[in-house]
Amino acid sequence: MKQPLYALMLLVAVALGGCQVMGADPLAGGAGTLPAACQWPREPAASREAWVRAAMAELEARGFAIRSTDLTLGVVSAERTTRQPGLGAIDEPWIDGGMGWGGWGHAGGGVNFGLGMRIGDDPVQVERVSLVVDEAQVTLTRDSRVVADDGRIIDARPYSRDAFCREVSGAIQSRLLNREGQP
Amino acid sequence: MKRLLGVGMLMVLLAGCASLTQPPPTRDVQVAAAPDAALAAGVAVLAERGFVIQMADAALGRVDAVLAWRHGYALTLETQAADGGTRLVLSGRQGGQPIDPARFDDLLAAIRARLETRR
Repeated sequence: MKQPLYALMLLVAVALGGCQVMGADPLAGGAGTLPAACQWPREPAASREAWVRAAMAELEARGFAIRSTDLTLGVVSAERTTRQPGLGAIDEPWIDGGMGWGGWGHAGGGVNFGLGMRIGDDPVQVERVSLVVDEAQVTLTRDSRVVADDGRIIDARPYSRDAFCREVSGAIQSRLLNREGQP
Repeated sequence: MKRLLGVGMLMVLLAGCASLTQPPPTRDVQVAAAPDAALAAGVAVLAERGFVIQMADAALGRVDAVLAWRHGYALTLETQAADGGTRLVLSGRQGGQPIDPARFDDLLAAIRARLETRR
């Protein structure tokens, strides 16, 4: 008799386990630590200014726009927007805009082509990153929001991913190594 | 007379709309460190917890940090000169609503601990 009850409780625990990640509070340090690749020791040979310059160049090369910098604190903040073609289709009916030649004025700005094809109103992903060049270490953080064409936020989450940090940290370090004899 | 009363009532009703958004409540902690060092420790702790630093200015003594979440976080950390050290003032909003300052205690304690170990 008790067995099914335990099984059910286990199932509920597993099902709710996913909620815990999102429910954690970053203010209390409960959001989990950053991936190891997002925090690395600082190359002591290069000055803080050299780090900031290299980071700005690397982020710009990746399509980010620099929003703010501070040399005293060693902070670079940047932002990148990327169109997400097709993502808007998920919550729209596939057959769109009525019958035949109709389909005017749906969802503002889009141009309809027959069945389910629209151009001009893709959702946009907005990534924000910051790089902090400390005395001893460098920390890279990122978050992401996906915004629909009507301003609705489809998705918002911390986005400090291991692979991204690994790529960016490696690229900045190689930029620092390739400098020509500057301090 | 009746019209005057009506206008008066309307003015009272609309008075609430006129005020700008109130600044969110703050929590502060005093540390025995220079303003720049205190702010640097704050930036380091915020970044370690995954926050994205959106704006930092050591001369102004102010750092803005954000984090996209189901209800996004937006925090402001400021420094004020205090006798024998620096006062760190933290405030913020989550999903547009002011954050209960008691929730900042853990973060401020972490900044203070970081400054004490570095000394």
